[in-house]
Amino acid sequence: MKKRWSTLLAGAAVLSLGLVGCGGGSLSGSTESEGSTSAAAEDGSLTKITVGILPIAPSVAVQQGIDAGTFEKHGLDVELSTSNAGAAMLPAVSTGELAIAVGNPLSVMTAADKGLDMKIVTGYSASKADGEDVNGVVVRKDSGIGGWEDLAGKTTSVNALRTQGDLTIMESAEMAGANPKDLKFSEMPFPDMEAQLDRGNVDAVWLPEPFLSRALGDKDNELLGYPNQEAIPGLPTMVTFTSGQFAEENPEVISKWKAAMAEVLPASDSDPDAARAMLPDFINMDAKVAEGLLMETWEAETPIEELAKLGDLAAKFEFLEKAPDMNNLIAK
Amino acid sequence: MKLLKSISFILALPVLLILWWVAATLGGASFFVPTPADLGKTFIETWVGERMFTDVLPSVQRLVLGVLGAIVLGVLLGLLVGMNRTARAITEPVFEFFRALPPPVLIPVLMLLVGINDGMKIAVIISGAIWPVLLNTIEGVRAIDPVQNETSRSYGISGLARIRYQVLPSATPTIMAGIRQCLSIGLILMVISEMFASSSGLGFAIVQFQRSFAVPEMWSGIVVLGLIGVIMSFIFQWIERRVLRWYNGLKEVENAV
Repeated sequence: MKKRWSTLLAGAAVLSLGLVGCGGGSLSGSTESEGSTSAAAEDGSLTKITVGILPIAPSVAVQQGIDAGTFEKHGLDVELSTSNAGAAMLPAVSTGELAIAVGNPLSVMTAADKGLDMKIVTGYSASKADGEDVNGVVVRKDSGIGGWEDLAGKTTSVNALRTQGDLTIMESAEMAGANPKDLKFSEMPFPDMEAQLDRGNVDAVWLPEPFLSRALGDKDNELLGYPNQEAIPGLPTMVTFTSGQFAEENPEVISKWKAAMAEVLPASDSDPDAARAMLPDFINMDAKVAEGLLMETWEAETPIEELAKLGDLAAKFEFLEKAPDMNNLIAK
Repeated sequence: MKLLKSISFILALPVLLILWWVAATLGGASFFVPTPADLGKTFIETWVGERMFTDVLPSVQRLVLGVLGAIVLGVLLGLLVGMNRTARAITEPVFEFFRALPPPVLIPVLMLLVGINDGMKIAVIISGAIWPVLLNTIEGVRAIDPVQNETSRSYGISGLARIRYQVLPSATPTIMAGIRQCLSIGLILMVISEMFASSSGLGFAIVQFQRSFAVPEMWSGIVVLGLIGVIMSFIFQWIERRVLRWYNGLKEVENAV
């Protein structure tokens, strides 16, 4: 009996700690966003903002913007904060811990769908509308999978379910005449995928660069296709977003950010070699791999049309309850 | 009356905590912390129905198989090693090595060796949950009172009979302590094993809810995990009380003296 009590007590203590932790997080978050409001009110001096990024190659453009002084020129003192998972960034933006973040538009839509007030501020990066794309589906040559429709009944690995990978692959299969419900997906980290495909544990894998090139270097593998180009050519892979509250309270920060991004992103896009050269330091990428890396297109203008298509597609496959209201989702 | 009393003891603290939680969320809940009423509603909507059969029961089945596997393997191996001094000396460093490996890092390796299936997930659970049982069994067998061993020998009790009637009963209190630890490790590993190459299961569902910002659903999944832990612990205590009845009796007598 005594033991049982202590077990219950311990369990309850852990639970209450967790709850207190969460409550505290959101409270301190809101005071912080007030802090940045007052900072923004001061004229002349730089406005300090914390920007959330993911440790992936396209994020390097923000670092280039900082190094080149472009943000300072527009009155912003940008500090980067790296999150490991896109899903972890949204709560931080929502509480105001991060003023702005660079992330996947579908996660932003999912969060907005669930009632978090999120606004897309600018575009950021997009996949290639034609030619070689930044991600693709790889199968074994002897698998008998020749087209998207053949994925029906097979298992495809994506890094996370209910994200752009399975969405675009399902749409590609449907366009090729298969029932998208017949496709099976499983989650797996990108670095493990090639070995699992080799072992026959999965039938197809969805890989971004540089994993895509490496997997295609194996002569037993072949490219099934680029699902982004099938579903939505030039699909936006990342956008910059903020919380509705921050956008409302700091309109001048948002307009400075827009102006800065309009300069930063085209600069990076016009000189991908400079961006590649920074990757070994920026995300510890192997210099050789970075050299040949196919970069996504950097584009600051909000790709409203593609985002609307993405929202419709996500609603069609029930990733979202309803297609997002684009007027509401995009910061004025 | 006694039953009523013990039930109210069990429920008192949870009820207090829930009341506190109700009070704390009265002034409008944050997006990330649902109110108890919301959570209760979500809990029923989410877990009663199809999900019970697609996510919860398969997970629990893997957990039970994994834990039982860990107990059986751990006790067998522990008896073998514990009863032989040379075997103990040889295996100790090896066991310490494997014990130090965190099972999550083994998952990619197991995926290659076993494939992506329930077997892999059960193997992950066994690979982590076996250690407390195995090491406690070895220790329990090693620490048997030498007088008992001598007595067995003089009466010519050997082989299976000795294991069944002398070694196992003497080691059981220590083994039970190991099994208690193994249950909670098993539950943790059940969740972790479903976070890789998975498309169903309780752990998978919770991560999926978290990622899609279905916050009340995520909390309700955590509640399910907690409830499974409580139920497992009650079942364990029920069994322990029966298995160790003689031992508890002995302790009482000793304490009385």
